[in-house]
Amino acid sequence: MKKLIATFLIAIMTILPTVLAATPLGTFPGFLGSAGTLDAYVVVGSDALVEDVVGAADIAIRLAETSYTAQTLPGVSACVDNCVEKEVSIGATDISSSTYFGPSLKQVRIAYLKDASFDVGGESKRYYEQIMVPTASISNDYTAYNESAALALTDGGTPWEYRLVFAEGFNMTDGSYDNTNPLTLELMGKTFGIIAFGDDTFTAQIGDQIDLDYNVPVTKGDFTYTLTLGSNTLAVISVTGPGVPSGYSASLTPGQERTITGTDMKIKLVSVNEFTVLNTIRATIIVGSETQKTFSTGDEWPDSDQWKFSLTINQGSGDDVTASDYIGVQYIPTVDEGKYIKPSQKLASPNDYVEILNDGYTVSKYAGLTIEPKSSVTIYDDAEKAISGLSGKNGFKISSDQKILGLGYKTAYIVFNKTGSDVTATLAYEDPSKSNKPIFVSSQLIISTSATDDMTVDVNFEDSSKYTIVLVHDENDYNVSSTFPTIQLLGMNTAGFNDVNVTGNFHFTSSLTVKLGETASTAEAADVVLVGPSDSIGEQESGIIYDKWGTIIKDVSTNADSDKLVFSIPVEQVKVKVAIGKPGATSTGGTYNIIKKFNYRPLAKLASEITSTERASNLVIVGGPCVNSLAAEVLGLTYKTCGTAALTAMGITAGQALIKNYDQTSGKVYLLVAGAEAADTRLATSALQLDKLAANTNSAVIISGSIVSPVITPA
Amino acid sequence: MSIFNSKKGVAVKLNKRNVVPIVILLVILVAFFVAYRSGFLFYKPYQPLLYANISGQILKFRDDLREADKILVIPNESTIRKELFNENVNNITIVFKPNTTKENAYYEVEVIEIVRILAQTYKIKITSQNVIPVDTYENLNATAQNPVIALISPAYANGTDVRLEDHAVFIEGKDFKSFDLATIKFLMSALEISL
Repeated sequence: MKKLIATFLIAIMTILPTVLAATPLGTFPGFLGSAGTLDAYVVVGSDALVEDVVGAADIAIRLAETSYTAQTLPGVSACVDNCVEKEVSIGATDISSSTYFGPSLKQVRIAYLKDASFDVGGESKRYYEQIMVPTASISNDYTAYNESAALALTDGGTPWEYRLVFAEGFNMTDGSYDNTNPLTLELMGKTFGIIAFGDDTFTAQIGDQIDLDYNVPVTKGDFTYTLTLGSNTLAVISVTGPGVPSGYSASLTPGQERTITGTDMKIKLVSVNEFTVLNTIRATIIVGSETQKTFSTGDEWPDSDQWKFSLTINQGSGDDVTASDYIGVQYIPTVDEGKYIKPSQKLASPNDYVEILNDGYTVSKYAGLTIEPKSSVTIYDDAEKAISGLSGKNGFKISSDQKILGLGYKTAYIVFNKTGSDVTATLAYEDPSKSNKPIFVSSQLIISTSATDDMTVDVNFEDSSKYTIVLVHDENDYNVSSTFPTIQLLGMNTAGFNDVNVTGNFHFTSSLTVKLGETASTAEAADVVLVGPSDSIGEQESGIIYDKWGTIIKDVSTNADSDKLVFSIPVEQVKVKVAIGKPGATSTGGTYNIIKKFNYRPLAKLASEITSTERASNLVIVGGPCVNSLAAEVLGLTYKTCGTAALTAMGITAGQALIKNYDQTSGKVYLLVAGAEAADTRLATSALQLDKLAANTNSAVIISGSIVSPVITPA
Repeated sequence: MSIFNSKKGVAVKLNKRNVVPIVILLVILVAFFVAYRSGFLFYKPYQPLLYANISGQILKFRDDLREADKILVIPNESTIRKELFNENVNNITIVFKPNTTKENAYYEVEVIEIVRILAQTYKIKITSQNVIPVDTYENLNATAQNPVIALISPAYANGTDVRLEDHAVFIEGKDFKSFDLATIKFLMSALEISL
């Protein structure tokens, strides 16, 4: 009986993780946190080999790089008063050229940008705001953007920049501006109290300003501030938050600054007032890692590591600021995702002061076009009589939702007839005026040592976009031909737009039926090829905008699984609407990722260090049951289980590694990354770092092969 | 200084009978106040300082920053920071001398801590290509453009410190906790965290 119970328990422990494993790996590392905040520990074995140490870097860097927050856009719109919009062609290399926006934008083109003045000793000094347009292209690189034409900032080009330009020079002392009377200016929507200027620097009060009423707690970030006591000359502020000792409070006189104990946060009292009539006290404080800072070129904008100052302050003339000096703030994205904007997405500066929008495409009318195998087709003559020898033939069906084929048909057929080692193709259009029967158009010797011409089908969409479908002839006899029939949809027959074409590599079976690729009903990379870049795209899961005209091949691998090619043909050239400024009324929204700083848990823990509390977090468990006790636990094994027993439990063999998600009942996930040997674990960590599992829908995979070319199969 | 909400006065008539209790009461109050301000009252046990605010982001460390702050840095924190984080640096390599599986695990923990914090704060990308096992800590070929972070586990450590020699930063600890603290001290130097 005991043996029976033990067997039952072992079976349950073996099955349970499999049952619970459900989170797809393709979303790694997003499932290890929420709202862009990482909530995970990397648990390394208390025993580790050299490869484990090396591979640990890959896990850490991948997690650190993915610090983002997905933001839902309120939607984008055509510009009204507060922005400029241009229609930019796919392939355009620079939106800052005079063809589009030009190098900069001021109030005359974007109304809300300031052109104003401030007082310096009774004299009015003019300043204005200016947006420097970035060097950016409209790119349809499918490897980065899928079925999108994105606005892509150019590496090494002119960055997107905000500038506040001083049109006239001045001295701060002439305006009595100093520490107690700062020059207040708004930079990109944020108020700065400027205390002083230096050569290419300026010093300003910074931090978050908080107004406090007596005994009313105010929370800013992770900290809560309460004015507990005070007078006109003193305020006592209690502070709670991470690292702050219990009961901590700071006594401050106006202008005084202290570091909050247990943190490097500073608190500065700006003012405090006792209101006898109201029977209360009010105080204004500034809090932050700094309350006063000197900014120079390269310094980060407060609370944004994507925006950095670029200053030109020239004091050589004797003035603190010389005419045409400026305070610039540049957008310097630190990750690739920050460099492009897909349709219905935008990049916004701090305070949303200025935005760059990809407002979508200029074309909304498309014709669908499908090329697929078709069996048992009978071709008729003009009298609607079946043609002898062309009954029940196999070949292609080409169909559209618009009358774009030949002289205005929606459906065409190409069927094949074999005589000896020659194959003849016959083209017919399905004619609505003749009972929708395929009516004979022409025949062409297509496979033969004497074959000389291709068979072509014209595609015209409202006479504005002409494509040609080409069935390529083969100058071999049928018995030695291995890749025929190759079928191409040529791009626009207009110079400059036919830069890329698509080829479908179809194959015959013995009965002259057609399949896409060597294996029917299975997407393979070589099934579909982009001619031009020579990219094999049969396994591409998304669609692709493949030429500068804006032609789309849809859902490539999904359709290739059905041996089909599906296209969307635009009625005219597609352009991208790009807007700079602030949008007005909204249309459709979307989501995009912004890169932001967030709070980290300590990532690395030895398995022996993990507490019960930490077990309630997401865990990345590195190493197998022979080196990591937690790995042994999730696999239902005792630590250390090595050798064949370990491999059997993981379902792998020598030279393989397992990456598997174990969903916990708490909603958290344990991600096991373990190889048969340490080198195999390294292979798995490398696959994660290189994002090789992107879009993988499995919750468990086996990795083999090499770091450069890992082989990934569902476990 | 007039204290808030203390507007109403209280009249007290003094004589020999009530002066003594009032004086005793005042002495008790003063003693109470002194004890409170000096921390003897409401004694709280020592709390490790695990967090640091780096330009608005809260980083949590594996161990006490105060303890780590005591670790010796040669020549000093700012020199180490400038050596590793300046515009001339193209690449940073982490090296370690493998030992037992237990000591290798220590390396693994410290590698993760260094990589993730430098990536998050300085956007420095150190991947497995830049983590290299070595046979010896001599002749590491560190240069100004390619400085090296050398991790020295307790088995090979001569003490606990962080030191810069010929463009290589050596981090060593005589036991795992010390090794941890030395790594944290290195990161404090890198991030300009001063207590």
